[in-house]
Amino acid sequence: MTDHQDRSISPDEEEVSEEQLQAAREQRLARLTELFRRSGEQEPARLLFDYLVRYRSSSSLT
Amino acid sequence: MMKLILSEVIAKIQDLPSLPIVVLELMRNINDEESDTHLLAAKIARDQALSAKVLRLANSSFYGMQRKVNTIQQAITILGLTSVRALVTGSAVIDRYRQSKDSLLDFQAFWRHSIGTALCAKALAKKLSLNQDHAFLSGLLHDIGRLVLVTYSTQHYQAVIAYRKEHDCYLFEAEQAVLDLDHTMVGRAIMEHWKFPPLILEAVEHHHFLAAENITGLTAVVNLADCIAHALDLSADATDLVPPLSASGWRNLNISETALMDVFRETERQFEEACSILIS
Repeated sequence: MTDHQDRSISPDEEEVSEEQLQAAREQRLARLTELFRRSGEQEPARLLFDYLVRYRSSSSLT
Repeated sequence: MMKLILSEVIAKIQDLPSLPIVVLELMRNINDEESDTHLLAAKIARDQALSAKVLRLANSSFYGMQRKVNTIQQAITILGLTSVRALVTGSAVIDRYRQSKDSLLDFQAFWRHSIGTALCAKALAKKLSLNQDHAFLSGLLHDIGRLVLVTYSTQHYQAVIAYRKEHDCYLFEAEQAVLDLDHTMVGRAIMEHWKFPPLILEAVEHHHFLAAENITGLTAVVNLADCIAHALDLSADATDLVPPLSASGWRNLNISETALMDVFRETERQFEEACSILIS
């Protein structure tokens, strides 16, 4: 027997999911900042850091 | 007094486990594609564990082959002798230095970082039209000197780790401060003993660009790959730090953000599979 009922996602589930995503993004950024704590102030390390922040942000959307 | 003398460490290197004879033979002619491939394939195939690893790598996302590679001879024909040399050498070194009892060093974390650097270096070399196999090997073995130092003297390396913790500095800075030498110098020495070519020796010795000011080519690739591997947090080491990135190396490589994004992606995509094959 096939279930034809639509299972819509409740607003609560969506909110939690977005919060979790945001928390994960912040955790990744904090970890990246920690890894660059000695070298991240100077070029070109700062540029590499910026690229990685963008990379982590774009890959978390997929 | 904890200072070490490089010549004494080098003398002890002779006592370390040597690589399989077939690997030393492959190293002797690393750029020679004219070697008798049938003979070499037969020699490699005699080491079943090594052959199995090489074939798994050849069939993995590492190469993305359309058809399955079933024998070492096929691997040589399809991938080329230089690539097979790199895979055999890398696999053999990891096998020889897998884990030491009561070691100060987390060998899993060590090899995870080294494999990450190898994959990243290979991906960078592809973007820059440099030799990918040399990049892979240099990346894989760039920190081998650390394994030698840990094996040489636990007491000395304990002092290095204590210094690092106290000063929150890079490991190579702690090595220099405590031992008056570092893993890049020792790494070059052991790889010279194993008859690696000058290009790879240079890359290993200068990947922290301590002495050389202007770094280019393979050395710059390994410096950048090392930094990226740390930044991608591949070894998941809580005390990890991204080491200094060479300004001259970055300028000389002249690699775009778009290309680097591809490199990050490719490194992470291949990483777990490569680790499962090489350090299983």
